Amino acid sequence: MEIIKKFSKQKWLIKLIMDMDKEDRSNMLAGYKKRKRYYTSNLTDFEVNLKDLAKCALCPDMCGFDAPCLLVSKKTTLSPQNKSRLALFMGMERIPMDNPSAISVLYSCMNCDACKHWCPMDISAGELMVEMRCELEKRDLVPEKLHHLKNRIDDNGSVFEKAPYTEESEFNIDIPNAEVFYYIGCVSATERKSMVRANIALLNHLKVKFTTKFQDRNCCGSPLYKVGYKSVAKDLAQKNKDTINNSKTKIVLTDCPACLNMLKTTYSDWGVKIKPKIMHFKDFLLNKIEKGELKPDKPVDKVITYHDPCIFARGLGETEISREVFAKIPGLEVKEAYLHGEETRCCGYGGGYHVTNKELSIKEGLIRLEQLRKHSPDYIVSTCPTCELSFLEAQKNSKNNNYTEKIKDLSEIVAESLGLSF
Amino acid sequence: MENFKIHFKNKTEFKDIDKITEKLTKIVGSEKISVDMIDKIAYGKDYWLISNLMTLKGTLPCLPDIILWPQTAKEVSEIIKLANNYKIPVIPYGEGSGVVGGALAVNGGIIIDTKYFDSIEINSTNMTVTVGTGLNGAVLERNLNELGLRMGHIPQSIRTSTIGGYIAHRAAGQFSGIYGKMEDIVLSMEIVLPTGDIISSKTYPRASVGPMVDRLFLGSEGTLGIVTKATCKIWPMPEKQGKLSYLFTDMQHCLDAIRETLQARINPGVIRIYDKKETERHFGETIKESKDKIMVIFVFEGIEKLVDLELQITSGNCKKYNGIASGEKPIDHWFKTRFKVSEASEFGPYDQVMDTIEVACMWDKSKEIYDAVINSLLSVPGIYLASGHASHFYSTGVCWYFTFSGIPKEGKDHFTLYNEAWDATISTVLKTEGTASHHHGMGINRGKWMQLEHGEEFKLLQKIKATVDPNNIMNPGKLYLEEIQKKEL
Ligand SMILES: Cc1cc2nc3c(=O)[nH]c(=O)nc-3n(C[C@H](O)[C@H](O)[C@H](O)COP(=O)(O)OP(=O)(O)OC[C@H]3O[C@@H](n4cnc5c(N)ncnc54)[C@H](O)[C@@H]3O)c2cc1C
Ligand code: SF4
Ligand code: SF4
Repeated sequence: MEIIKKFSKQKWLIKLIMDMDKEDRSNMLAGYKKRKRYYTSNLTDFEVNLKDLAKCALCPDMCGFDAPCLLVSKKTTLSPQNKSRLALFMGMERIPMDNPSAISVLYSCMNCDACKHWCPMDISAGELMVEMRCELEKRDLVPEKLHHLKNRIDDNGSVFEKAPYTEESEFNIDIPNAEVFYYIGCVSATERKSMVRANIALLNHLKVKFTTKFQDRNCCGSPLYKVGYKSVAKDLAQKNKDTINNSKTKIVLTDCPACLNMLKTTYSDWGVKIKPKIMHFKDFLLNKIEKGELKPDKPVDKVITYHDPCIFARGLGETEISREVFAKIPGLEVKEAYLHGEETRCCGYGGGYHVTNKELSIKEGLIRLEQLRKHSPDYIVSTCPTCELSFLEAQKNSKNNNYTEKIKDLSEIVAESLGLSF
Repeated sequence: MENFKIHFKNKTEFKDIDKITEKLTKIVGSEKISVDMIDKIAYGKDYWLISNLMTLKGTLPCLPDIILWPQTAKEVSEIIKLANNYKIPVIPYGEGSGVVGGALAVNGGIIIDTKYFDSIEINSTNMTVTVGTGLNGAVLERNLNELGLRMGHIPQSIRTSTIGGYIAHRAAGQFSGIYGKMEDIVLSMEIVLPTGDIISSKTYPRASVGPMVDRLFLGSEGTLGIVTKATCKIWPMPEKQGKLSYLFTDMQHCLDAIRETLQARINPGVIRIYDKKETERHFGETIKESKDKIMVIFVFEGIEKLVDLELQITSGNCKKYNGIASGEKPIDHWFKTRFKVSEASEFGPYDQVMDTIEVACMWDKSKEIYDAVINSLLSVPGIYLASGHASHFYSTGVCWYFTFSGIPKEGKDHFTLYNEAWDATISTVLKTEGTASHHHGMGINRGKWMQLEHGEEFKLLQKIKATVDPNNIMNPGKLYLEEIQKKEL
């Protein structure tokens, strides 16, 4: 019997089934056999994991207390469980797929995976929302305000109005025989130039032969995939693979966790294998410091608070590298934020939330910024250009104008400790 | 929405709904009001367990008419005054984790989401915290823990429930042995009455100034007003946590061991007795020697010396009643799994009827009630699982927490079976001099037992309700009504 096999570890359940009278047992088995009808949609080509959607829809929102989508909006409608319940109703065709309010619910998520972190069933409501958004895309239902993201990819290969990857860019560097490809993130190149300059200074200091190969490179596809444009993102994956695999690159260096996660994890889930090693700058720098190739010995007499980007802390389960780098820098004092490490809180910019829910995204950024300011640090430091941008925007948008702390990237701190100008 | 069946369909349509909406918009602002169907679907449920089957079958428990997110007690007051004019129901809504349908808008009306009431003010001299009642319990506890403090109210639902919900149901946390039930934790409240008046009670250690009016609102389940603020007791984080577990063969023995411990004024934060079935379910895989035994776990908290002494005395009592020490592993296992709520998600789609029912009784009925309820549940045709654990203890008695599950026999529907199991349990409990609920509240499931539970005092309660809420606008259909359940699902 299938059910006995499935529950072979739960002996109490097997015993219970064996002890039932005949009618109860056959009713129980019939219920078990028919369960899949709740996981099946009659919508054509509907590929969402309905089983997880149903499980999440039946859960009492056990992750709610830490889910920024709920905390920042204060709307039960937007809690992880409720999003899944509404999505399930869409899959069941009870709520039409083109219901505008339901569609906006599917986009009320920062893909921060706080839900998954606390979930007793290891479900990410955020990932389920991405799957739902891909269903919208199949049906031409992606909200109009997101169309520009796709159009810009067609126009200039990035999600920005102006292409960051131009011939004229100061970041367009191509050292002959480069073995390192510095894959500069779109947000880094446009909004976090000081960080990119620090990275370039660090590579030059290390005498690394590197290229940024702007003309041939493309957006990693993360922002597009998260809002539902999976097929466009897959095309970009293919193009990036061709560019990278056809070059002499041995290491791809990224300055953005979203790029890293796409190139490394999502691409390979899609069967697109990037051959060279893919590394984030923080890992690269720690490695160089440990090998003695980088010697950050100029004291940085500052108090810093580190913001763990969700993708590192929860997506990739890594929280120590940055802290190890900080420990190597003389003078630096790290004071931890309320909610750090795996329990970090989203900056408000994940999953395209700043495009789909601008006001709430800024509100979330401000909430997180205040948590990070608790110890009055000199610098708030992160390893993600998007988080850093979010805090810069929060500072700008806040009524409070007594911000004294600076928003920095880890690379900038390392460069400062090496006395590099950038 | 025509694609859904609605379980509690509101029979009276509110004619002036557009006008009401317009006026409410003026009170809260256009961002803080919704009549959108998607919001109504979201707020048309709580965690009344049978509604999980409804979700799978595409039935909605109910549909409120309007959802509001007020930000001040004054706004709440204005909303309530308006609701009185139009005689439209008002239902307070925290996080909808209530398991008895308390937050369901069974007669339609206005949902007041309390989540904007989320302030935290700590007084570390008095060791009190004054909080907005829409604050999530785990968010509060996390904030306090950061400062080395705790309120210590840790219900299993702490991650998905609010202070207001705890007050409304007189909730109990896992560590109630030390920190108490919500009625022991709350010192004073700010309440918006069903007429719109705002009252605040004074915070004092104890007093003798006539009847304690605000106590009436503890357990009032949203029917006597909306609690907007509460001052609660807090404590320093404990120096030590002590863990103890014992295995018993005989239920009466372990009850006696615990009773003697508590009556000797030893106060474990947590005590849990798992009957043989639940021991097998929870510990069968991890604690091999628990086979065919009753597991009892204890957690002590406080100053190290005191905890050590409590461990020693409790061990002595367990041994005296033939308990076999089982080490710390069962407690570690409990700590690891205590928030892992997945049964409803895993087994719900098998079309089963399941739920839990918690009741309380004095010590002299403790074994009798346990036996009687298990037998009466198993005598309901279609119920194939009935088990129990005891989760809260007092020097005077105990809270039993029963779990049942079943599938309707030929010709019966799910809802009938559900009601039969509930009726069998509550009627048995009341017959055996127990009390119908220990911490989940009465809501829809137990509303019809209010009269029997309270006897003569129920009339007084009805009079109080009629005086405080003359138009019966606050959460109608709960506590004071006889039969509102329907048969079909
Ligand atoms: C998995 C799980 C485990 C649980 N474990 C426990 C447990 O260990 N102990 C326990 O006691 N309960 C437990 N519960 C039950 C539930 O969490 C509690 O009843 C909780 O108090 C409800 O809080 P809420 O904010 O979700 O309230 P809601 O469900 O939103 O509302 C419950 C009732 O309170 C009223 N109400 C809400 N806020 C206010 C207010 N500010 N003023 C007046 N009335 C108000 C509502 O109208 C309604 O009648 C559990 C539930 C689940 C799903
Ligand atoms: S993500 Fe997990 S914990 Fe959160 S609501 Fe869904 S099932 Fe529950
Ligand atoms: S990923 Fe984050 S924002 Fe999205 S549902 Fe989960 S907790 Fe909410």
